[in-house]
Amino acid sequence: MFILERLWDFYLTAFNTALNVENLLLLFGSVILGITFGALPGLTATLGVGLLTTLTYGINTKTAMITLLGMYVGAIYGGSYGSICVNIPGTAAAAATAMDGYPLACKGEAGRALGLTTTASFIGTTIGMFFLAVFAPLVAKLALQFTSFEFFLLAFFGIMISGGLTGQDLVYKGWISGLIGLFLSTIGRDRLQFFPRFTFGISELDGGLEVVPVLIGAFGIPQIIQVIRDQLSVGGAKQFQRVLPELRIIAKHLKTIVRSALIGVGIGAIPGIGEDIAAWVSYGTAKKASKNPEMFGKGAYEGVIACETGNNACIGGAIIPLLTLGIPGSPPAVMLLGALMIHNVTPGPMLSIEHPHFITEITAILFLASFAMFISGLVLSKQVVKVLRIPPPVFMPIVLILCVIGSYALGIKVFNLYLMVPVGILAYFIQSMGYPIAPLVIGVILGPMADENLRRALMVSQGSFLPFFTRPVALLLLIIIVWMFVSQIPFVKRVTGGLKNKIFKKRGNEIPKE
Amino acid sequence: MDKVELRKKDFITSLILIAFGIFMILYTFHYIPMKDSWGGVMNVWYVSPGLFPVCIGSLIVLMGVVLCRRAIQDGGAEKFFQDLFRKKRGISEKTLRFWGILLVILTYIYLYIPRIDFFLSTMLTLMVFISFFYLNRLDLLRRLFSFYLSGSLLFLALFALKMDRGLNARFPYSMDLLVFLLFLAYIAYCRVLIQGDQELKRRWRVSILMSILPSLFLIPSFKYFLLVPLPVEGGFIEIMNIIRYAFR
Repeated sequence: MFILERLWDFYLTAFNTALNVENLLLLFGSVILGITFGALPGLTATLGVGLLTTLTYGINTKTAMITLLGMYVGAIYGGSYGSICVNIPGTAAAAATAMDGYPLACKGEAGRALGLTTTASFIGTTIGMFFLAVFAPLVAKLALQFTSFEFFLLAFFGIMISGGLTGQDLVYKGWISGLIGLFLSTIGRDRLQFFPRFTFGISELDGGLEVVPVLIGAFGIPQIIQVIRDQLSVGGAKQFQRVLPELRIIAKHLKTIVRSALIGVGIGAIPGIGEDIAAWVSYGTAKKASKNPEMFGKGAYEGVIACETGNNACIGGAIIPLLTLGIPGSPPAVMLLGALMIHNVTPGPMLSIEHPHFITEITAILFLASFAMFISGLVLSKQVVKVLRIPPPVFMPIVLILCVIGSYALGIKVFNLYLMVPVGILAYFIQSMGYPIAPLVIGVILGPMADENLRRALMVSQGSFLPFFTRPVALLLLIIIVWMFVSQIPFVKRVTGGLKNKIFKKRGNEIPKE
Repeated sequence: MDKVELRKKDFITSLILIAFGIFMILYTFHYIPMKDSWGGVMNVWYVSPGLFPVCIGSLIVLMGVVLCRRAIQDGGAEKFFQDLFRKKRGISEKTLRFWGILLVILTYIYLYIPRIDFFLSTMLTLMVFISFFYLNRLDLLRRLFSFYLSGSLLFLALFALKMDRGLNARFPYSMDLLVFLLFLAYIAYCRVLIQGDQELKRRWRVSILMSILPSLFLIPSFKYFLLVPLPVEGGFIEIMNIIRYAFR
């Protein structure tokens, strides 16, 4: 009965939203803008959502979510245009798509490849939406049982796992990035006693660092510097005639689609791990499971389908922890969190009580956005590909202006710009040394939650750490966090490595016998 | 970046991290009450606003030590000391490009936006940024960089000596006018540098167009549709206001 009620509520919301012409225009407009943004190399979904956030300041929450989710879905899908047509992924999430998308375009099948990515992205987003609809209320219910002990550990766990999984060079570089973010979050008056910390007498810092300028600075400025400094150039785009849904090929690879969608949703639900990792893991798994793995990298349809289903399914997955726990699942979801905060919506366990229909609304919008993406993808792809001809030295300066206006417009404060630039330059330098940026911004966002809940928890227990060990969820989180630390000690690494080798060796011996 | 070079940077970073972590801890113990009373509330260590920063500072020191150990193991420290006394070669193209981007961003945010008409500073920034890199020739970048740097230093001196206030008080919008002259001089200097090259001339025209059109679209959109008051509304925004309200 509960499920039927929810389903009815979902269809009603989707129908009502679609009936409003203004909503539809905004949805299609933001999806097309998102596709364009995603297609342009150097412009990411995160930056797109961040910049659009500033434009939604004066409009109501629902309309704001329509534009932001439209941009998010469109940009993740749009990244495949650059991958297929010019072998330069528009976004990191589409990097894996280039592996097989570009070889397909070289064979004269660019239209077919785009048809596949359009359909796979649509299916991926829809499956992600399904998981959001089913699991978000359950997680929210479970989260209502959490106390300050669990919330502190959850925030810390989010930063640790995001740092651990995104650190490309060394795992602890991701953690360092997260710790820098946590430090930045301590600047300003603390929320329990309003004592000024690290403000150095600057009154503008009393309220803490504004999240959106930090996010725009951390993602926008390094991107601008990198693209211009490294002279990212785009060659002539491959030509194509028509983009068709390619349902026959899709039906043939249904198993790959379901597998990749599950991977996408799962990875999306892990804090801070974005669509790029979802795409690569989906691609790798599809290759391992394929009957023709040698075809991967030479233009395999399966490869393109796996990546695009994975990265788009990640969107729904990333929104689950965002809405239910207040912990963003991916970098663009971090931006969404910033946008929700601006609109006075506090994501977390109380969301379903304070705004009972909000999760259903978001699910319905995601559903409509996936449709808008599918239609726009099939109809407008030929026109959107034209934006790939704009040279980066021309559009990157415009992105800088958008970053500046965006950061400034939120609080109408020039101080936001003074903040954005140093954060951006810091992010650029640490990124160039192999430190991921996502844990830094997640640290900034989750820092206050960790700080407040740690002190609240200790206040309740009168300074005792015992509840961390006696509460089951807290203990589980604590064990995972400690294991993440301990597993990096060389001795432990050697022991676990040896164990892994033994297991795999055994398996390896067994396979020939079979 | 090769591994040893990366570890050299890691070595430097680790030292900065250790120093920063120690600073965080010392600052917290010195300035943030751990046990004393604040605002009528008697603190205990576990509710003190200093608890979290101390934990973060300690973890930063720990991570700095781990990173330092790894950097030393992989030869990063050795490379750092070797390079310390090695004579530096001339500035590379990538470095010059990096400084070019930084110069444009820093002057825009810290020099022009707080003092000059927002439309004008945006137009100047776009013109400089696009032409620096779209003309795509190292010798041109060098010359344009020097030209723009000199112009900006001149304005920095004017602002530092507070001469802008006197000038603006005597002749309204005089600073805007001076920056506009810099904009025109920059365009003219560009034109002189690219004489004879048709492709560069085309790019120069695109640069001018792309510095004016986005400014004309973005700034009125924010000002009149989203009703965002701009940082400095000088002579150019005043002209926009006159046009806007004439057609209202």
